[in-house]
Amino acid sequence: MKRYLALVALLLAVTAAAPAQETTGARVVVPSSNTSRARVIKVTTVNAAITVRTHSGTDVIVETEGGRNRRLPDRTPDGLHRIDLPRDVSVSEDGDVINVRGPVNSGPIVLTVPMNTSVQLKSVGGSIRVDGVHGEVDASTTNARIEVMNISGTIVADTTNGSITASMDQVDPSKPISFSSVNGSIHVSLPADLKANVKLRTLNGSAWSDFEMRMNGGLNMPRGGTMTGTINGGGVEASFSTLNGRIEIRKK
Amino acid sequence: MKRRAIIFLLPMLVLAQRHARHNNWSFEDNETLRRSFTGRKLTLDNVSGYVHVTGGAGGTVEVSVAKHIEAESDAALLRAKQEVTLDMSQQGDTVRLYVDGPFRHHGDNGNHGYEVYYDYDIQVPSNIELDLKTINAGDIVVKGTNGDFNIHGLNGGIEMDAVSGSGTVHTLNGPVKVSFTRNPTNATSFHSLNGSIEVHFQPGLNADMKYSTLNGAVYADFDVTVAGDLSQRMAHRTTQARVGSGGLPLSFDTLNGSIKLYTK
Amino acid sequence: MNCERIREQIPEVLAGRLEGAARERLIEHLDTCAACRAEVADLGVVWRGMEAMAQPEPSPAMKSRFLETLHAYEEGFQEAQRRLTYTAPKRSWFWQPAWQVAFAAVLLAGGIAGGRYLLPHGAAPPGNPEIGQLRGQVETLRQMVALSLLQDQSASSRLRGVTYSYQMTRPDRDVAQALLHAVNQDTNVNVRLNAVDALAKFAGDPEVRKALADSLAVQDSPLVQVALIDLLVQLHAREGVPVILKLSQDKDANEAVRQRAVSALEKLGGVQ
Repeated sequence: MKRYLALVALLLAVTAAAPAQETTGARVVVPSSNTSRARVIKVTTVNAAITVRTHSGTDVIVETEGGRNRRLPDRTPDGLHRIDLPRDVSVSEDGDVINVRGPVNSGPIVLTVPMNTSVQLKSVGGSIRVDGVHGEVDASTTNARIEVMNISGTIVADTTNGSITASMDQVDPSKPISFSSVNGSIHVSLPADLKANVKLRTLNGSAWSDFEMRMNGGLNMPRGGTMTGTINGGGVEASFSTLNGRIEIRKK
Repeated sequence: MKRRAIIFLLPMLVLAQRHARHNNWSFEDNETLRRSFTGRKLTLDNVSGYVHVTGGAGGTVEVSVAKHIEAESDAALLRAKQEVTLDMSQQGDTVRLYVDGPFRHHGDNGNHGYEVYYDYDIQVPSNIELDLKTINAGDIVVKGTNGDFNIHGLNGGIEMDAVSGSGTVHTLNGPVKVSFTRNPTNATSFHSLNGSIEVHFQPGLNADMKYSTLNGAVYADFDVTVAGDLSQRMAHRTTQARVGSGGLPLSFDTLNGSIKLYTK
Repeated sequence: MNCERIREQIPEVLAGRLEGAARERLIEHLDTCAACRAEVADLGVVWRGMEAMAQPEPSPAMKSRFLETLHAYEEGFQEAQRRLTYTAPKRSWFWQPAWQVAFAAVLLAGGIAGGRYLLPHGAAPPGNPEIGQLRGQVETLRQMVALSLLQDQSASSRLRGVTYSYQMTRPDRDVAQALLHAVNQDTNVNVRLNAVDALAKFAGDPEVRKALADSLAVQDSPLVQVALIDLLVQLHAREGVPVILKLSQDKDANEAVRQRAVSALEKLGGVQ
């Protein structure tokens, strides 16, 4: 169900001097409409890597490169940039949600977003990298790694075979954070003064932390490989689950 | 018969090489036609040959046409001269150049044993309105005009240099290259199926553009805005976008080439 | 369409004056008729096939169709997933989240107003039924919020819904239903995982235990499988034995999961 926004404007590509020249593909800018609600960006790709970074502006910038198989008749001419999207990339808007559907081939997608944006990133084999977002982060891959840095807010991340590395500057106390990886490891850095209820689940792996965790049930593991405890008296729900990997929770 | 052919073959070697598709057609004829008209509009409907139009300060339309015939026999040569004609006339303030021949008529099977080429070099007043068509064996080049235009090539490219005005520029198999001294004020379209499109505008372009390419890409040195339903405006082949404050309708369409747009 | 007719039309189409159906017919004919193509060549036009003159179609047509099919599949798959993500038991308009919250607010307001009216001056004595009623209404509100969150688009919100659920003192059947639905249908593995943990509160409900066992049968995420196995063991849910047995023998299952299943059977077998 699509609604027309009165003043939705899509600004395509900026000046030749823009730092975006690092991708030779298309550059698409979606300015904020007159709503104050934070935007949600959903990106779905198969093998394309997804990078999200932030800027102080209110626009959402999508930079893409077409899949490597696609040969354009000419290379990007000097001083020019593409103002159409590669055929296999689509950007659409549905209320406050921007949907980016990525190429089947491995051209990377780079999003530059306002800091209070929330992102939902899903890929099969493309790695996911997020830097600086204050909204909600939901990242999911099958085979690739997830790296989330300098975020404040909350995160829900899962991967089957990849690893998860996360570093949170602040954690929203009202939103549970959760990390799971079947075969990969989970490395999370959290603020040293974080108050949290921690749940650690690792079957064949190990768990390590330099936080002082007050574990429930003493030294006995109450239920299989799951340990629960509190940090700094308890607070936000934080769960870490892996089957075969290692869990490391560090103080920032 | 053969002697005449030989005489013409030698000096016309250059032309012959350019036009010769039928290497075994050794019968040729050449002549140059010149006419002068006064008019505000030039309509040219050619089949084979190039069309070069140059605008200037003069008040008249000076037409210089090089006609070249290749034929398989003397008889065919004669037929060519009889059957294919260039009508040059003035109707009101329109100068009309029209190549007529059997290929214009229903029932013509296209195989005549000859080819007739007309190459035009035309000087025009710069404010002339142009309607130019040619199909084969030549490009269309327009320089220095500022009237509205309809330019149709088929197998050749189209180049418009230092022009202004509005209109259509279409070709099938050739490149399109246009540079404006002033941006168009009315709807203007640029189409090439198998060729690239390159247009140089003046800074300060305000337009609502529609651009399509399948196997190429669209490049620009300026910012473009798309308004409304993104999925509709950025459909799989076509994008609808706005430059500056919009207004002027511009369309660019190619299948197998790229589109390059300049304002700087 | 005979060749003579076609040839009559060639100059027209070359001059761009043939449109629509006639043009299409001519193009089709030229594609199949070498003789007519020769005619066109005579007029100096190189025939480039359908692409040259037909309306634009994706030229690597097969590749394009494959990509479209892939996208359609992904889209359909995601749409199915979206639809399966908890749809509230829409027995009536009442279950719309907005109505739920409004109703809860009314209840709460009513409770507070009623409490003020009924309470004598000063603090209520401990054990006063009105306080209990108030607590009950807060609990209802919490439940409304949890149920509402569990339907949200954002995984983070659904996770919050799960957390709310296990912070409730007396979560009722609707919450259990919602959590079970989350375990089975939520697209996000973290939500499913935490929903399993939240269901530990329903140890006493045999229907929940049964549902957990059923859920194990259809779960494909190894982490959730292990969590379910562990929970069934924790709840001493012998109902789960058949499913766990099957899982322990399933060659396609993750090795670690199978081992977990085997050790779970021992533990459950030991409970009589």
